[in-house]
This record gives sequence, structure tokens and C-alpha cells, in this order.
Amino acid sequence: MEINKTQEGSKLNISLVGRLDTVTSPQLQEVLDSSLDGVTELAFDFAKLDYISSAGLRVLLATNKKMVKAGKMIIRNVNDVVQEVFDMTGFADILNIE
Amino acid sequence: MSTSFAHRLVIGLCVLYLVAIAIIWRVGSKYAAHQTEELLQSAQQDLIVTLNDYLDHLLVANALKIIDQCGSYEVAARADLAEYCKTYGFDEINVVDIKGIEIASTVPIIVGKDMHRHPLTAEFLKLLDGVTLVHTQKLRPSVSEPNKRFKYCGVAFKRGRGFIQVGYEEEHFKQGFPIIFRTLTQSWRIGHKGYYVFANAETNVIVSEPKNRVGLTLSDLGFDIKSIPDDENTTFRQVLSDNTRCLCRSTIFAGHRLISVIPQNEYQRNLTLFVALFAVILFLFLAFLTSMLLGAAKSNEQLKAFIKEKQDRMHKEMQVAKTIQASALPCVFPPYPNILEFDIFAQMKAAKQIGGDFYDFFFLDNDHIAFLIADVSGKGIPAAMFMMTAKTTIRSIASSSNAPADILAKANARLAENNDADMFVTVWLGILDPKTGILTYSNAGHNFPILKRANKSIEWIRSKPSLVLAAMPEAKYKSFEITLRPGDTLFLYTDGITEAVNPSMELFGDKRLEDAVTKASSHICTDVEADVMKFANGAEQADDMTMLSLKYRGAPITREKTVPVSLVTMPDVSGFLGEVLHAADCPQKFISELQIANDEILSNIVKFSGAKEVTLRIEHVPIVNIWRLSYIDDGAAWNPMTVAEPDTTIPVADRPTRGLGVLLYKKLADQVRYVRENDQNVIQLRKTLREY
Repeated sequence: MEINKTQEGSKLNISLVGRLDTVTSPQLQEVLDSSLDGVTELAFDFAKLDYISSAGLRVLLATNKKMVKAGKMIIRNVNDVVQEVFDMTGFADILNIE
Repeated sequence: MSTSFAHRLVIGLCVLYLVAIAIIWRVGSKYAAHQTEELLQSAQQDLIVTLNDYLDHLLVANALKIIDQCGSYEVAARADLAEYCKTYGFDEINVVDIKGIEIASTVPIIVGKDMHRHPLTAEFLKLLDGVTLVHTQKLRPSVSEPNKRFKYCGVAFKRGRGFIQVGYEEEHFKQGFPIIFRTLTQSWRIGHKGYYVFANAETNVIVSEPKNRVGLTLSDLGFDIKSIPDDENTTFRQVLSDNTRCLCRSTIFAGHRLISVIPQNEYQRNLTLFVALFAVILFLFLAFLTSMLLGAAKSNEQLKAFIKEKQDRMHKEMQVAKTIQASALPCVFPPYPNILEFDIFAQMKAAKQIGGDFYDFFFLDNDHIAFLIADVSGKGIPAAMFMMTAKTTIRSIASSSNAPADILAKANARLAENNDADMFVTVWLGILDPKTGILTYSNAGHNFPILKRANKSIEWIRSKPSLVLAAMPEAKYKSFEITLRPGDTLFLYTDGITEAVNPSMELFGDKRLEDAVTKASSHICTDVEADVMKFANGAEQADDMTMLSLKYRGAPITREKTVPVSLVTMPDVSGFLGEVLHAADCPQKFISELQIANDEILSNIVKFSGAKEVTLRIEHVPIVNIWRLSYIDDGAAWNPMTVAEPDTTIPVADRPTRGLGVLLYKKLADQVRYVRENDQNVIQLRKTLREY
């Protein structure tokens, strides 16, 4: 999976290309762990994200918890399948999806 | 029923009874009155006849003396007739010669007169015929002296050679009358209560029984003189002074009035007795009749109740039998949810009476599925019982053979053997190899099935039918073969479908069935049934309607990949999955959904199963676009279905994420199934690609 970061001050934008699953989630987790200090706004761009599995959901959840305290987290450009997963698991209610 | 019916019956019979009594009384009274009058009439006639006879006798007896003394008319003509009159008390004596001329008479002017001159005198001429000896006449006016009334009598001489005629004058009678009456009618009565009253011209009663009336006048006795008719043949009524109502007849005889009297209640006692007797008998009869009728009505009620009870019971038992019968047929659909190659659907709708249709399907072995439809002759309990026998016979024999003709032949032999009731059953039996689509079948007298090809074209499977089952033990059966292609549907039915009638008595028929099958959706049985019901339009269902449809999907395209269990190999598996789905032109969303499921299942296997190897088998049935993913691992038994669903009462944010994966793939798939087979876990996931 490709992870692209762009930062503007305390705003961090991460766009993903590919899929966020068991294999690729650890990769994202690593990036997030090293990038979130001082970030008050984290924005995910999922335009090129094919799909997400529960492994990815766990990462998002943990990250969301952290960011809600520090500032906010937004997810943008979710496709049908990702939205479907969010809906099925109830994550649509807790994540900030635009 | 009982009370009001009984009441009405009793009241009705009472009325009937009273009416009958009244009628009998009336009829009886009329009869009694008639009899009374008859009695009166004959009493009157008896009296008159007796009087006349007596007088005749008197005259004749005396006249005979004269005949004896004279011997011939010549002698009589010279005799002293006046002397004879004195001696015998006659008032007139005439001697007539053989020519009918009165040659001598006590009345001079008569001498020489011809008896032929007047009808009344001419009557006596028969005394000249040599046969007639005596002739008498009633009192009548004399021909020669019309103002006097005479009674004449003629007695002939030997051989009709002349005769003498003697006469009594009425006046003469009158004097002797009371004595005569008394002598003759002494103690005469009419019936029980009737009597005679003789009165003279002054209406004084001269003779009567009882004697205490003598000397009284008719008026004293209560007779209304003026109302007494002149005609002696008329009955008249009088209420006499003793207050008796009487019927009377009056005759004038020699200047005297003779009245026959009979009280109207002469027969009263008889009538009363008779009616009383009748009343008693009728009462007994009606009482008997009532008890019979009530008894009959009661037993009729009891009988009806009994019959109804038996009918209800029989109806209930029929219902139970019908339920047993229906539940003997496989009724869980789809019967083999894990078989991708084909699907079977069947239904039997029994007619009102319990029926004999059935269907059946079962695996002969892993590679062959047998299915059949059948129709037992007749209806009712015998058909139902034979149906059960036939079904179990076929099934048990089928376990020994793969050839439909062979199965039917053996089943036939067994069923025909003990077929005392002469029942028979039509059967269409097919055996399908799902891997190849090759269908062998045999037809024992059953309706031809319809094959609806994948392109919706219709073929009738017409094979020369063999004999129905159970008719003749030696009957021969033939097998035929046809190849089903993916998407083909075979439609079996019984004649309850084609012979369904509408209110105009038209049959549904083959053509309509073909049309119905052609335009039916994938739920062919339901759609055909709907068409038949619409056609029947409320007409009663006469026969069981049974249908079986077998949809052939074809053997699935199977691809498999086996990898060692590790995170590292997961991309290989998902790559393989993606490649297969892509090659089949699946939409991206569909592929992503399956990829997510794949990820979840594999990660669980990697994390928890302890397995060394895992195989992903992908099965695809193109005709219906069913995809089935099977994950087979050799790890510890672990059933993902037992994983608890996440607790939805806890806010999502705080919920533990264990079980999230299972939740996800259960929702993403149409169906998930787990089995433990050959020491392996098998997780199967099924998803159909639907047109969006």
C-alpha cells in the first residue's frame, strides 16, 4: 500500500493508495505512530483506497481516539465498499466522514 | 327438536282425534237416522201388507168355499148369491163365465157385462187361463158404483172354466177394523221404541200399544193433524206430548188412519256405544302411534347425531392422514443448500379428499441424484396407503441400482406381487449426474415432462411410456438419456395440473401448461400454480396437483490454491482471489467485498487456528453467478460461527474489536457455513453476484 503524507503546520494529510487490510495495516500504524506528535488535525483521503478490513478499522479506531483528544480526525472520499464497511460495523457513527 | 316437535305432534293428534270423533258421530248419526227411517218404512209396509194379506186371505178362503160348493160357473150362476153374501159376509158376488161375461151377480145391472170392459175388471180375466187360481185387488172404487170402495177377490173354477169374484165394501171393513187390528197387531212394536197408532175417522185412537192410549185423540197424543201428509210414502216429524221427537208415516186404510211411529233416538244407544267404542279404539291407536312416532323421531335424532359424530371423526382422521401423507414428502426447500450444481423444488397440493400423488428425491451416491414424480390411481385411504408403499418400495430398490429402468422394473415386480386391490401408479424417474449433466430416465405411464432450456426454449421429453407400475409383474421398462446444460430446468407434474377444470368444464391442457412454463420466472412451480388457479377461477380442485422442478446449474468452475499459513502468504491468496474474480469480469465492488471477507477469514486462521496449511477453493457457477469460497485448514477445531457478536449496547468506541472480522464477513457474504471434516476446518462463504 502507498501512504502519502503532506503536512501543513499541525494539519496532517494522509492519502492511501491500495487496500488497508491485515497485511498493510501495520504499515499505516507505523507511519501514524511516528507522525502524530503535535498534530491537531489529521485528514485521511481514501479516494484511492480500494477497501478496508477489520485490521484497518482497528488502526483507525485507535487513531481516532488519540486525535479526538488532540484535535480532530477527518476521513474524506470514501468509496462505496469502505462506506459499507463503516456502516456494517457501526464505525460510521464514530468516525468523522466527509 | 324434541319438546316442540312432541308438543306439536300431540296437539296435532288431539285435534285429529276430536275431528275424527266428530266425523264418526256425524256419519253415525246420519246412518242411524237413515236406519230409523228404513225401519219405519218397512214397519209401515209390513203393516199394510199384513192387513192386505189378511183381508185377501179372508176373502179367498170364503170364496173357495163357494167354488167347492158350486163346482162350476153354471151351478154358481143359478145359486142364491144373496144367501152366500150373508153366509160369508161378502157385499158382492159376481159369477163370470169362460168368455169373461158376468152371467150372475148380486148387483143386477152388472149381469151380462163383459169383464173386458174396464182395466180394473179385466185384471181378473187371467183367472180363465187355467193356471191362475186367485187374484186379489186393493180397496178401490167399484166400477159399477164408483162412490163406494170395494175390495175384490177372484177365485177360478177348475181348469179356468170361469171364476167368481167376491167383494167387500169398505164400510163393511170399517166396522170390523178395530177387531182385526187388535188381533193382528197385538203386541207389535217397531224396533225397540216404535209403535203403531190406529185412529178412526174421528181421530180417536182405537188401537195402540201400550193400551193406555186407547180412547185418546191423535191430538191428545201430540200429533199435529194438519201437518200429516196425505202421501203415505212421506216421512214426517212430530214432537209428541211426551216430548219425544218422532218420525212418522201415515196410511189411510179403510177409512182409518194408521200411523207408524218411531222415536228419532231409536238407535241412539247403539250410536253412543259405537262412537264410544270407536273413541276408545282410536285413542289407543293414536296413543300407540304417538309413542311410535316420538320413538322414531328420537331414534332418528340419535341416529343423525351418531352419523354426524362418525362423519366428524372420519373427517378429522382424514385430515390427520392428509397431514401424515404431506409430511411424508420432502418439504424442506432448498433440500441441498450446499449443492451448487442443481436445485430442486417440489410441491403437492392435495385435492379435498386425500390423494395419491407423490414426489421424491434422494442421492443414490455422491455422484447421482434420483428424483421422481408419481400418481397413484384412485383417491382416498387406499390410494394414500398404496402411495406410501410405492414410495418406500422405489426408494429401497433404488439403493441397489443406478439405472432407472432397472429400478422401475424391480419396483414394479414387488408392487404387482401383492396388489390385490388392483391399484397402480404412474412414475417418472430420473437420475442425474450433476458433474456431467447427463440425465437418465424412465417413464412408467406418466405425463411427459417439460424441459425449459437456458435460452428459454421448450422441449417436451416424449419417450414411449412403459406400463404403469404394479399392474403386471412382467412389464418391461426402458431407460433413456438426455444431457442437461447449465441453466436448463426440468419440470415434472401430474395430471391434476393438465386436467384442472374451470367453471366452463374446459381443461387446463398441455398448451396452456407449455405457455405457463415458458413465461414463468425462476420460481416455476409457484408461477405455474398461480396460472392454474387463475384458470380454474374458483372451480373445485378434482385431483392432486403435484409439481417438481429441477434446475441444473452445471458443475462449478473450481480453482484452488494452497499456501502455508502465515501473514506473508496472505497477499498470495488475495492475489489469487483477485485474479480469478477479475478474469470472470466481476465488478470491483463485488471483488472488494470478497477480498475483505478473505482478509478476515485468513487473518483469523493465521492468528488463532494453529494450522500449517490453508487451501482456498473458489467455485463458480456461471449460469447463476454463484461464488463459493471454501477455506480448508488443518488447525484445531475452531468454529467462527461460535464467536460472539459484538455487544451493541456498548458504544462502538469502547467496544472490544474481537469478533469484528467475523461480523464483517458474515454480513458481506450471502451465507457462511462451517464444518469440521477429515480433521479439517472448512469455512464456506457463498455470495451471488446479482445484477445491480
